[in-house]
Amino acid sequence: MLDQETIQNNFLENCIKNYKIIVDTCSLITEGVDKFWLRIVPMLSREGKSIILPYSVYLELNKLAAKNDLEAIRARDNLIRLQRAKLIEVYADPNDGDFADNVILRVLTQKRLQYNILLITQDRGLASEALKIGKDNAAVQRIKSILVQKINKDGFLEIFFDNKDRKPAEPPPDIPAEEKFNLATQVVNIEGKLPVSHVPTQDEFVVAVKNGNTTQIKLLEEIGAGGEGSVYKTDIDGVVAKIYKSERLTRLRYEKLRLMLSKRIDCDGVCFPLAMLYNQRNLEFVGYLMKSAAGKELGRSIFLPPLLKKHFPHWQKADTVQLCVTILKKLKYLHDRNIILGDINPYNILVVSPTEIYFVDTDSYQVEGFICPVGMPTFTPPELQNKPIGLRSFGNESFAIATLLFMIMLPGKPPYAMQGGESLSANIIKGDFSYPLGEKKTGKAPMGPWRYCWSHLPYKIKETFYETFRYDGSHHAEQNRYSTAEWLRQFEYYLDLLNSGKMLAQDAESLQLFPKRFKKQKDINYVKCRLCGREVEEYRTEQGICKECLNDGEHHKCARCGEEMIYTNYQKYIKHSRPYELCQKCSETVFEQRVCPSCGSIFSITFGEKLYFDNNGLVLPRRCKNCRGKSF
Amino acid sequence: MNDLLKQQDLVNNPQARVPVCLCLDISDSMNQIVGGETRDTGRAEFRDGQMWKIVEGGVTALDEMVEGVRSFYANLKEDEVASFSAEICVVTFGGTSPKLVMDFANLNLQSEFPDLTADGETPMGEAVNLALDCLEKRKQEYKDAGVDYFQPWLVLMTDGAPNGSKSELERACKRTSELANARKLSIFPIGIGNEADLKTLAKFSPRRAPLRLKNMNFKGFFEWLSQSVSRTSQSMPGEKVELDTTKIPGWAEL
Repeated sequence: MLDQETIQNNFLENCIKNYKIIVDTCSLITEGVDKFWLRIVPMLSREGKSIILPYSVYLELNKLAAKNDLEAIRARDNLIRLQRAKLIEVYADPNDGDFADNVILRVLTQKRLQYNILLITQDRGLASEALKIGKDNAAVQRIKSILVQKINKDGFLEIFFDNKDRKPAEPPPDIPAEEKFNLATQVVNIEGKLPVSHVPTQDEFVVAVKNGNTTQIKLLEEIGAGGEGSVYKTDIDGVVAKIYKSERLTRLRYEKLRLMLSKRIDCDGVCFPLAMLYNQRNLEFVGYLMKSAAGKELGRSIFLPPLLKKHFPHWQKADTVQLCVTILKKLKYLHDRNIILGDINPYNILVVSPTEIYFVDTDSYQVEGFICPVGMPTFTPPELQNKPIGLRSFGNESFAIATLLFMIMLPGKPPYAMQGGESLSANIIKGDFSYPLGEKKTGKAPMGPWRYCWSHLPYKIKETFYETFRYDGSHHAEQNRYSTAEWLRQFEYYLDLLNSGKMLAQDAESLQLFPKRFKKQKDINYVKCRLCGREVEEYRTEQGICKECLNDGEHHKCARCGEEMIYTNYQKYIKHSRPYELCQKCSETVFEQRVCPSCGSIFSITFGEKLYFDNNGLVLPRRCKNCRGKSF
Repeated sequence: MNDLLKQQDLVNNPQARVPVCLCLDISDSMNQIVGGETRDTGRAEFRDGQMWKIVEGGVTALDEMVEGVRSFYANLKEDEVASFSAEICVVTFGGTSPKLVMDFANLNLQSEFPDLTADGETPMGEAVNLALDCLEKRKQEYKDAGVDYFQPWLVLMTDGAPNGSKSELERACKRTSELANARKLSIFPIGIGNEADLKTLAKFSPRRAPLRLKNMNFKGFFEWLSQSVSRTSQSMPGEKVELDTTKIPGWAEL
């Protein structure tokens, strides 16, 4: 562990580099402010950065100073000196009133999309208003963040709403009976198909029925089709219709949907059935109505690193952690109502932003005795591997949730992929989870960035995964697994650590989706890579460039075969060589065979050699290598 | 430097892989004309075990096959998930020995599928052994790096009968049969045209009977294959893949 002083200095340096810092009046006259200035002023001058001082804060200090407030006088004089040294920048807007709080909040609102902002204040009210602005931001697309800190008596910055202030886990909410399903112990089995004379399609009308009320609805364009049927837009904005193929219109499905519609389920982003749909001609069951979804499937965005970068280029760790919180809140809503998803997988959760997601394919959810008939092995717990699908328990579901969360934290990597592993299913049954927890390690964690991602998780989160996935873990057995509420608490805590600046204070690399190294350790020297600017272990750099950057570079194609090649930064900056025009295979491929006029042997000229001669303005040699340069 | 990219993809790409081996016949008989306009040269030659009439122009079975493989690549690359999970290796057999044309790698890191020339014999056993060796090597690389993979696929296409080494052929049949019976390999033996020796093909594949390609419909076959691979890559490892057999009649004679 790093000591308090080092942590604080790291934090301040990171803030100075990455944040606009605004300071409030009350912090300038608080007890530890002198120590704070002593610490931060040398850093500011070194980095050539300054702190923002709203003019109204200065006016407030002046007012206090006029009343002979000694602290205020000292603070004001300090500020004047700092301004001369260009270490503070006075911010004034002609429209600003005198009240500093309002000015600060306006600055936050205006600048939050452009800059990361650190507000230093002692005022709890202002702090909570400022944090609210930060949270609004998440609803758009979180790119920049707002941190709020106060100065303590040692001159250290600390967060306002510490975990100590956090409420203990809430007791399970009281869900009214009209929202809650029963738990069943027996599978409902209803055989047989329902007759259907006509399956409606685009531009036809269907009849929606909910609680005895009927409405005519027009099917508009088809927006998706799969094995079960098609989904159409409708003439109701934000509502779509799923129409099954005729062979899928079974009595079982009809009864299940009827049960699903008997409860009031209404959760933002959960595309739960809203009404039953019948064809117009004979009022035969054809499908159901639901809210429309948007976004990219987890499996086609977050789980494939290049697509993650493409669709969510600005995301950081805090965004994926927020995404987990958002997912968990919806899962908790459903679990509180005894709905078990059953087939949790990355293709039925769609992502718009960290706070806007959609659960689709809800008609497969397990309600009472109606099972979810599908599932994917990666998300199937050991006790159900290779078994026919029946009723699932909350314990079964918790395994799937843990797997999903793990695969969001280590984007796309399944928890049991490991060196020397067997088949995926065998690994799950074996429970030989390969990522370490403290001293407990197998040394078999996969190669690549995955160990770094793992290393930067907070200990509590690692422990929760470890105890769930490892065969001898305390929460591995079905009945002992963590509840959705507990996972939610854990990830809210993680989000707090990120948003409060605590993770930043320890190690800025922890904020990255793909950290470039393990979490900082005490006895290792860190330097800034001169290409990516990130702090890396000194021993893993060459001429100030980190290993990852050395192996990275510009991509181009082989001039002959079109195979993708990379001109690495190692070649460029360390070896100072030019990019290869040909891949190795083409370079060694024979361009032409010639007969040596001197010795009569046949020799080859490769494409690589040809390129060399061409580039140097030379004609291709007539003689073989042995005879070249000899005089005859 | 391409090797570096491949190594990076191996460890950085979290997706479970679907390794597919294509074992393709490019013996002389694949030069047979299957379509297009031809002009008779009046000559005839004995090659690859048969007498052939020599013509100019026309479309050969090889042309159709190469086009089919190219469309296979194109279809997989179009599917976001499949392009990160499918890995293809191509071994051809013609001349006197098999040839590794494409080794396993992320599809986007492989070079363009080259033009092939058909000539010589049908060393099928040797080719299947080479393909299995490549597959074993790749599987070991997956294990060493900690990468999940699906049960590998082997597609074996021929228009004739093997005429390479007998012992190699027997060894190859034994290897594929053992793997298939242990459910560690899915084999798709495909006969091209009427001369294809389905009896020998069957020896490679104890669990799935060989199919004969209908009307040289390579395009139909490879379309079906890419759809099947896509479906596999979107489910998760270990899941039993249900092949869409309803589409098979489009390209096969059952």
